[in-house]
Amino acid sequence: MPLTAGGKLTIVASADLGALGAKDGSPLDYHWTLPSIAPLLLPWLAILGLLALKPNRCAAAWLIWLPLGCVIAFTLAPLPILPSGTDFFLDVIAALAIGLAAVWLLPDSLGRPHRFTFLRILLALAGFSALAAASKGWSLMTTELLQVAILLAMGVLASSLALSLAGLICRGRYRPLGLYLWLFILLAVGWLVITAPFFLFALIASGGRIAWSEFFVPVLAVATVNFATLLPFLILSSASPFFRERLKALLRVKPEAPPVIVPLPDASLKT
Amino acid sequence: MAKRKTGCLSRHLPGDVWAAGLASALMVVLCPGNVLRAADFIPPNSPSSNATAALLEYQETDHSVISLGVSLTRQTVPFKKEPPAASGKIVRGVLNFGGDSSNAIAFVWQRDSEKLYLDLNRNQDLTDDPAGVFLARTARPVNYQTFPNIHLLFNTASGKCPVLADINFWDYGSQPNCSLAIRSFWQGKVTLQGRDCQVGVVQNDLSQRGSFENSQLLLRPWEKRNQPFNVYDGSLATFPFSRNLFVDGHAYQLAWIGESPNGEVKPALQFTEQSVALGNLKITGRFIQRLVLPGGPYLVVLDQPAVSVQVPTGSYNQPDIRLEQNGTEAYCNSTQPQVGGRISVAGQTPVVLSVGGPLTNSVTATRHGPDLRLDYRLVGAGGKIYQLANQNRSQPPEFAIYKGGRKITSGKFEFG
Repeated sequence: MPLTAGGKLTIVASADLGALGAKDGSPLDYHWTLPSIAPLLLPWLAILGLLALKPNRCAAAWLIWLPLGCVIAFTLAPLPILPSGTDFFLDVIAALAIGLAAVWLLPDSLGRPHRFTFLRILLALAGFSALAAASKGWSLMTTELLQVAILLAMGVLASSLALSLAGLICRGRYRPLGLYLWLFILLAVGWLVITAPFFLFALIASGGRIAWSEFFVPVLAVATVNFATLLPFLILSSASPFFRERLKALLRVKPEAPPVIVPLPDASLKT
Repeated sequence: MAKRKTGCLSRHLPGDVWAAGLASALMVVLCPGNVLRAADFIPPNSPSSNATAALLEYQETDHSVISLGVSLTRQTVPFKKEPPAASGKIVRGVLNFGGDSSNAIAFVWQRDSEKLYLDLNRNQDLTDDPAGVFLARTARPVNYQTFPNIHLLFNTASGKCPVLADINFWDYGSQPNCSLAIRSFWQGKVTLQGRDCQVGVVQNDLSQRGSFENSQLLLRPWEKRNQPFNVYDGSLATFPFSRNLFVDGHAYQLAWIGESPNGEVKPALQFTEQSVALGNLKITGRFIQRLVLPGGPYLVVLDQPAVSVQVPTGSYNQPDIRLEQNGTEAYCNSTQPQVGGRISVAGQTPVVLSVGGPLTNSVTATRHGPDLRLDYRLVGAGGKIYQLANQNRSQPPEFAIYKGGRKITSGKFEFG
């Protein structure tokens, strides 16, 4: 539980013990020092730093807070459907959203060769997501930290692959719905490919006693959540001309060519 | 459900075997047909005069006394003779009871039809067992089905043992699983030092190697014989069978003296009093209803022990304890990590055993970065960790945090 009051605290546990003991337990004195909020601010300061870059110095760039805010609000809301002990999943989603916001704020990359697109997205996504996870992760226990790190690494890899390949597939023409669909398919395939070795290892270790559905169902569920994290940013790119051009540049989708003007036949010009 | 009543008589075997025989005969005559025999069991070889025995009768209950996981070997190829296929998922295979195949039972579980076929006569033909077709108890999800009131027969080292069980099957997409909720045991009456007790045995090994020697022994006051119990409910009504038992201040050697006519089990348990060197044990806590000291020369069972008690000298493991006061019960399980090492009782110098109540709600606090983690424990004397019996999980323990006498926050602990 987070505590916003520092100093000497007295903690009392209570439960009805009937005649076996008193309801209130012995008070426990604990000196609580307020934690520094600096680590928690780091990812937000990094986003502000990207907004300060010259290509982002316009009001439209600040719209990035909308999808980012949506995803973060989702992770902070109580989710009764989430099984106990899987809260770390929300930390991964929040960290991935910070990374995606950073990718969306990356300056124009049209001049660079296509083969660097994947690397560029991967580095930006990994760097900013790791920063966000680390700012929260230092408070997590070791096992949770490991879970967050592994899941985040997979999410970053799957998202980078999906974005790069979707850009490659849709490079001829920018169609938002087509891009969404391809991203979802590629995310699902990416997650399946990345997690398949782990499943195969578990399958061999258990002597083939794991059903395939135990692999496909959760992995596809995770891929769907990954897509849902990406979707607010895609919607922003559809709604905002600034981010539409930014996404096209990021994925190296060719700008739509101006309409071809066919010259009239000579005969028609004759009078 | 058919339920058998059992009434047994037991007392110290007299020196005169005729007297005991007469008592037995009278008892059989006096007890009408549906009441099972209650008699002093007189073994063929004459026992010593300080021995008493209880004839145990098969008893069925309406509650589970122990749950056993069953290894399930699945097969995809249909049996040569099996019931007509039903729509939906069909799971077939063999239920294994122990490493040997002699007690294995072939089955077909028609999950979507909520029907179970058991090869009760173990001939690999699932069409010739009219009593082996069962319907699932309703109001269950299709993935988890219970087939109640199934009578099974097992060949064990003690003989042919009947068992009444509810069989649970569940299938959540991976390997289907099976468990048995056993609803039968063997029980009788024994009088130890003038106190009538229900004595019984709960089998926890249904393999061919399984015997009463490695089962759970039931021992509790005769007045409580109708109270439901379970091996794992913390009541300590049962404990692992031991040939050497120390109860109510007396040491006994236990021996199975029953016969197995036609291979059918007719267990009888003989208690022969022993002379042992005793040492003093001083118990500091209160509200102890039962305390079981395992791992020593005798399995020591102390019911409502006084502050100072005598137990056989020797070295013991940490005890299992059940507390009870005005209807509230709690227990301490020695298999859980606990404070304290071996307890050595020697001579007349009292050994202090800090166990029992009163219990205290205790909290520990540890920092995890910006978070404060609170852990709840129910602590008794000597720092032993207890659990409330019949804990209502909808009302977990709570905490409150104060600063300068003012409550700044509060909440509930989560189980797990």
